[in-house]
Amino acid sequence: MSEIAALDQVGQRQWRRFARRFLRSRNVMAGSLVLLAVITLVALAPAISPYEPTQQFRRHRLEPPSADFLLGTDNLGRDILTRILYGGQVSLQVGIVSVAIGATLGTLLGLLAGYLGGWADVLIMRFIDMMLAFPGILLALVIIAVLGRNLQNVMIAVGLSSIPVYTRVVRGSTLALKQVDFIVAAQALGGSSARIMARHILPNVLAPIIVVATNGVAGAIIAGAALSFLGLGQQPPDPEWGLMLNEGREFIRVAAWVTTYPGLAIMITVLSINLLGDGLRDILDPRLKL
Amino acid sequence: MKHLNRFSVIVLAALLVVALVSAPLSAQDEVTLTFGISRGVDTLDPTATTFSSVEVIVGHVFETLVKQQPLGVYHPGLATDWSVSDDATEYVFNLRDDVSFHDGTPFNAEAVKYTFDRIVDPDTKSQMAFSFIGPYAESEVLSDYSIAVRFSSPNAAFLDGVSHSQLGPISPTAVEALGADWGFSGIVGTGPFVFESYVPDSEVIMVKNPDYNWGNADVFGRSGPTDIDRLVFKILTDPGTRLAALESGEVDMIDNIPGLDVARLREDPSFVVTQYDQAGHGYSFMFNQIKSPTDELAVRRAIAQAIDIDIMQDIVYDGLGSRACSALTKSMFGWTDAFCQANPYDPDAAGAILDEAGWVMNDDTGIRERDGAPLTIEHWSPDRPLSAATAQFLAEDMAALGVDFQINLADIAAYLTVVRAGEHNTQQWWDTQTDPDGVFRTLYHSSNAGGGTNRNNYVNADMDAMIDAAVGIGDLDARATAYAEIQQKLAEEVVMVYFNDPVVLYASTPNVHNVTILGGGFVPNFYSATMGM
Repeated sequence: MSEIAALDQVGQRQWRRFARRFLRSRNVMAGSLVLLAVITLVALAPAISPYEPTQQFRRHRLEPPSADFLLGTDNLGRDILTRILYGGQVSLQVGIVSVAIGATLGTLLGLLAGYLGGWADVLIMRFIDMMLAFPGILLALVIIAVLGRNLQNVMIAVGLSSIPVYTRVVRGSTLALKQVDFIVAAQALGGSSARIMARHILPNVLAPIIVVATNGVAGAIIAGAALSFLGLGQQPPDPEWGLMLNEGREFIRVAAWVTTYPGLAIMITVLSINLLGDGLRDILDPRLKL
Repeated sequence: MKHLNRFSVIVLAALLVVALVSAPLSAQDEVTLTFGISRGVDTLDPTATTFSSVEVIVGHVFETLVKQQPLGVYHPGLATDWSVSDDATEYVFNLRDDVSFHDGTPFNAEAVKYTFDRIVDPDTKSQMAFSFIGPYAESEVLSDYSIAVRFSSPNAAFLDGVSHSQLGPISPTAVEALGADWGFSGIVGTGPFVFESYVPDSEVIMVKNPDYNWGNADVFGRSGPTDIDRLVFKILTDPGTRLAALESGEVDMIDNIPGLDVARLREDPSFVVTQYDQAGHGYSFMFNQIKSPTDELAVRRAIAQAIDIDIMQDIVYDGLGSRACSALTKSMFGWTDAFCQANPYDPDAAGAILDEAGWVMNDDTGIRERDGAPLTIEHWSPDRPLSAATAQFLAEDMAALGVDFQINLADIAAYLTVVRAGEHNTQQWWDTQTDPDGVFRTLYHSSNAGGGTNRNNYVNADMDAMIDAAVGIGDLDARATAYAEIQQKLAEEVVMVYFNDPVVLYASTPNVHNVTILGGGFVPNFYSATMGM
C-alpha cells in the first residue's frame, strides 16, 4: 500500500512539474490559447455563423468584406466567414483523425519491432523503410488514387503516410527501455510480452509520441488542405479550407479575400499547433527532466 | 574567394564565353509564336480525338480537302474542285498533284481513302471524326488525283465535315510505321507546320514546313511557307495560370480569358482582346436516360424548370455570352428563338411536376422520396473551375427543389470512365461545331449513344430518322424547318438543358498580327500570323 502511495506521489509530482512548465512556457500558452479559440469557434459554427455554408446570395457575388458579410463572399455569393467556420470542422477532423490513425498503427508497429526484435523487427522496419522511400504527400496521392476521392480516404491516406515517423520514434525508445531494469524484472516475473508492452513500455514512450502527434496534427491539416486543393479531398459544395483556396485562386486578382482568409485560417491554426508542439517537446524532453 | 583556384577561374571564364557566344546563335531571329491553349489533348491523332481543342492544334499539321471561311462558304484546300450529286450521297474531289506529306509520302487519292476508311474502322474508336464523316459508305479512287466519296444516306453536311482537320488526310506510311505511337510521338500531314514534339499536359511544338506551297490566299490572305518558324502550344488549362503566362510574356496569345479579367485587359494597351460568338453548341447539361431517375421525363422537366438560368449568366459565366435557347448557338444555321422559354424557370411548377410524379418531399431530410427511395442525382464532372462552379450553382437550385444533387468532381480519366459507362445521372457538355447536323448527330443520334458522345444515351428511332433526313435536304428553308422540328422534339422530351451561348475570347500581345480565326470563332490558325511591333 505504502509503495503505491509513494508511486502516486511521484506521479503527482511529475504532473505538477508538467503543469508548472506548461504554464511558464510562453510558446505553449500562446499556442494552446489560440488553438482553444480556434476549436471553440469551429465547434460552435452552427450557432455563431450568420448563414448556411452552402447558401448562395446570388446578387452578392464576390463582394468585399462588409457588415453583412464580414469576410466577403465568394464567386457563388457564399459567405466566406461561414464557410471558414464550417470548413474548420473538416480540417480539424482531418488533422485529428489522420493523426489518430497514423499514431495508433505506427506506435503498434514500433512497439512490436522494438520489443520483439528479430524477424518481426526486420520485417516491420524494412516495410517502414519502403514507406519512407516515398515522400508523404506522394504516398497519400497514391493511396487516394487507389481508394477514390473523398474526405474519409484523405484521412486514411494522410494517416497511413505518417506511420513511419511514429514507428521509428517508438521503436527507438522501446529498444532503449528494453534494457532497463524494471522491464527485465517484469520479464523475470513472467509477464507476457503483450502485457509488458502495454503496461510498462507504452506509458514510458508516450512523451515522444505526444510531441510527434501534436506536430503531426499541424502537418495533417496542411496535407489534407493540399489534397483538397488538388481536388482529391472534400467534394464541393461543402467547404474545406484547401478547397476554398482552390476555388478562390481563379479570382485572386479581382477578389483576393476569397483566398486570403481561408489561407489565414490554415496559417493561424497550424502555427498555434506548432507552437504547442514545440513547447511540449521542450517540456517533455527526458534529457531536460532531472 | 581566395580559395577559388586558377583552374576554376579559367573554367568559369570559358563557360561565360561559351554562354555569351551561343545565346545569340541559338536565337538567330527565329520567329516563335507561343499560344496558351485552355483545353487539353487526349491524342493528337485527328481521327481518334474526342477533344475540340485538338482541332486547333492539329489543324496546323493537317491540311484539309476544303476550307470553310466564313461558315457556309467553301474554298479549295487539298481539293482543287469538287462536285456533289443531287441527292448528296456522292462527292467527287479532284486533288492537287503537287503535294507531299512531311515524311515524303506523296499525297494522292489513296491517302484520302486511307484516312476516311480509318475513321469508320471500329478499332480506331473514332468519335468526332466519326460524327463529321456521317453515313460514310466507301471511297473509290477514280485516278491518282481524283476520288469519289459515297454515303449510305444523303449527307449535305459533308463539305462542312471535310473542312475540319479531323478529316484532314494523314500519311498512311507514318500511321503504319508509328503504330500505337501515332498521335503521341508523331503525326504526319501535309499542313504548313511539321510536328516536332508533344509532352502530355504540357506542350506541343511544331516547326515551319519549308515546302508548303498550297495555302489558300482567299482564306489566309497569303500563300507559300509560313513566317512562323516555330509554333508552340502550351497547354494551360488553369485560367489564372494562362493569364499570368500572357502577362509575363511566356506566351504571345491565349484563348478563353478568365471572364472577370476581360474588362481589365481591354483597357490595358499592352494587350489586344478579340471576341467571337462561338458557333455550334455552348454550355449545357445532359441527362443520362439509361439510369434512374433521369430516365423519367417528369424528373428531367422539373430539374430544367428549377434552374435559374438567367442569373446563372452572371454568376457562372461572368456575364459573358448570352442565355442559350437550344442545342444550337445563335450564330448557327437552323437556330430559332422559338425554344428560349420551352422550359421556363418556375421552381413552384417544378415542385408540382415532381409531386404529381410521386416524388414527395420528406420534410425531415429536405429530399423528395418515392417508395422510400430518395431523389438522388449523381452528377459527374471533370475538376475544372467552370465545371465546379456550375455544379455548385446547380446543387443549390436542386436543394431547393428537394433533389439530393451529389457532385462528383474527378480527374478527366476517372470522369470519362464513369460517363462513358453511363453510370452518371447528369453531366455538363460544351462543344463547338459548324454545321447543325454535327451538333444533333453528336448529341442525339443513337449511333453515338452507348459510350460515344451521346451521353444522354438518348435512343429514339424518330429522332434518328429526323436527323438523317435533315442532313439530306438541299433546300435551305426546308432544312431549317427540319431542324426546328428536331429542336421542338428535344424541348418536349427535355433531353438536355441549355445554359449559355459563349463568346470566344482571345488576348494577345500587340506583337501578334494576322491570325486567321476559322471554325466560326473557335479555331485560330497561325499559318498567316506575323510577329512584330
